[in-house]
Amino acid sequence: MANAKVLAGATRLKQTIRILNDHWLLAEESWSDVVRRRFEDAHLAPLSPAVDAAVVGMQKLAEVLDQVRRDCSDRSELS
Amino acid sequence: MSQAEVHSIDALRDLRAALAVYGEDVLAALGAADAEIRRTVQWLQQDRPYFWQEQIKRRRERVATAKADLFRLRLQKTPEHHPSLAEPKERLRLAEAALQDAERRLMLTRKWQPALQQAVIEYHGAVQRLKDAASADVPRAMALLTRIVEALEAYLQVQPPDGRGSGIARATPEMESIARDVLDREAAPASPPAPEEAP
Repeated sequence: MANAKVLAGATRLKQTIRILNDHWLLAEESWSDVVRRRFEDAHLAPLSPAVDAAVVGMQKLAEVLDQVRRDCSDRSELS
Repeated sequence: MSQAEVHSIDALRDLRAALAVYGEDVLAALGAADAEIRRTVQWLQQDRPYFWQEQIKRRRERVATAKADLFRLRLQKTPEHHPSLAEPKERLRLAEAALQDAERRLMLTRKWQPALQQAVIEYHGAVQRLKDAASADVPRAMALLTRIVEALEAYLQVQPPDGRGSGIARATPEMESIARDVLDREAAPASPPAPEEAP
């Protein structure tokens, strides 16, 4: 099993970007104009790909940390 | 003129609050991952080499003891006395397997030290953009929303919305212009300081 704390962080990232996007959709309903598009392009659009890359990185890290623990621990320490 | 509409100042305030929570959550998640990295690196570099070297020493002693026990039982063997060797042989087999396992894990500990450093470098590369966003871009976006909200509120102080109640502001061309001005000022490159005039 991958490192639980790091995986929990990756899950938190996915949740928090979803919540932010939900708020943005609500704001969008009352703020749909050129200004909105400029704000979205400059400040919100780059966040989702950054979160996606970070989540992938955290999942890989979680696997590595777990593999290190399994390889370098005594069996008695893992039980 | 484009039909810009800023329908609700409250929606902007909520978005700013959501951005603040987002930035905090991102930094907390990245901070927790960094803590796990530090913990594992320290464990791998400081605890494990000593632990496995000690284990190898102890397990070698157990192998030597098991060999000595087996040797002693073999010496006790006579035509009339046949002590069972199955149990001491099994103890020796287990002791040798445990020693081999410790030697393999010390080797893995040494192998993982550079490999973990490399994995950490790759991880930092993967999260760098998000880290920058949470520590710089998100506060900048929040500050921008604050300026837009303040500018719209200042405008509404002198030009209240027509019968729509407080907090709800339908866009007018003036409001569009105000919001766009704030964005323009943010997008404009900082002008260099004027050269000092010679006395």
